[in-house]
Amino acid sequence: MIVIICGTNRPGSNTRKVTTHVEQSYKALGIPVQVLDLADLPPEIFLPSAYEKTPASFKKFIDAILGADGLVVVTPEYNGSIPGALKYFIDMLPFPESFEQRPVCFVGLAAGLWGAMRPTEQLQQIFAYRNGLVFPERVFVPGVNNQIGTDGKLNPVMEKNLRQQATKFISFVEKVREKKFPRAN
Amino acid sequence: MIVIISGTNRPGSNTRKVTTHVQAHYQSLGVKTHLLDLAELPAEIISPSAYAEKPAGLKKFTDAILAAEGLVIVTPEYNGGIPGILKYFIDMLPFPESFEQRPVCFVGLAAGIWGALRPVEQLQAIFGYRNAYIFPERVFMPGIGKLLNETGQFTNPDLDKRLSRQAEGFVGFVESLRGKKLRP
Repeated sequence: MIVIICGTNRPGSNTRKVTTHVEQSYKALGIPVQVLDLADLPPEIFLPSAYEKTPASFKKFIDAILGADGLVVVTPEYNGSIPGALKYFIDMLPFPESFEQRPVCFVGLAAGLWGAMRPTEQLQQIFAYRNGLVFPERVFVPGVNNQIGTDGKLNPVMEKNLRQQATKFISFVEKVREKKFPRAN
Repeated sequence: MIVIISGTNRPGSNTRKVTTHVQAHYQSLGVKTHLLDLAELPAEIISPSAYAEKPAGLKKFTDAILAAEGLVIVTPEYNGGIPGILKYFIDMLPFPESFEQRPVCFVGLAAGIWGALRPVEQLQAIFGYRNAYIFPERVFMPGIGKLLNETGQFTNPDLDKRLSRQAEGFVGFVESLRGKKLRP
């Protein structure tokens, strides 16, 4: 199972749209995927008491992460860095088992011309700190507003980049997990 | 007015204890201070709807930031980075007026040996992006577990010296940039 994290809780985000395209590129390969949308985080997770006692409603997020063969994090750029909601989500997951030796792959998108390079590199740093297996090939989507049509369709070049990343990430996951996913033809 | 931000919402944090010491140093200079504790953020702030419409409970935080002559951020290190809640707070403040040309100063603390160097440098990048005036002298507190005793006092007087020197330097920096006196 590949778990794809939509890295913001902002309603109607481009991140959510790009996440759908990422999901499709794994599905096209026949890989089982699950999307975790941070907009669905339970409100109790933000209570100060959540540091001590994880709310029961958060369990489905934890279970998905712990059951993942690989993670794909789709992140926008807020204030030149990772969205607070995404970092908070990371802070709330069990240590160290959530990311230790878990393959992880990144997609960044931003309105500006840097395409979320900064949050993506911060995430690489964070996942390296957590001993995640960081997949080196990232996809950046600069000027995201011009890359997604009003019909929600993505620029075919970006579509191709995402498909390529998915293919290579799956092969990386299969190697490090020593398992084979069933593939579509 | 110097606004001091306690950069986590975790109850009983060392960050909150260090923030009290930081505040005392500004107060002993005769500078007016205001403490913002992220543990007191209103619960509605994390609702996805808060991006479009800010909850009323956030207003006192926003007002304090917008009125601040300077900001001091006290941050721990979570997962090799800034606490998510601190970044979320930054994401929720008005753009660009919250930080544009506002002086800002950093104190980092961590259990490990790096003393929150990573979150502090991430914050410097973020505040650089937001066109704030970054005060270059930072204070780092590695091994914070051993630096505070049970009553929350520093076990090493050197820390008070460093915070005092930083506070004096930062107040001077703010006074020069703002062209006004904060000290009596």
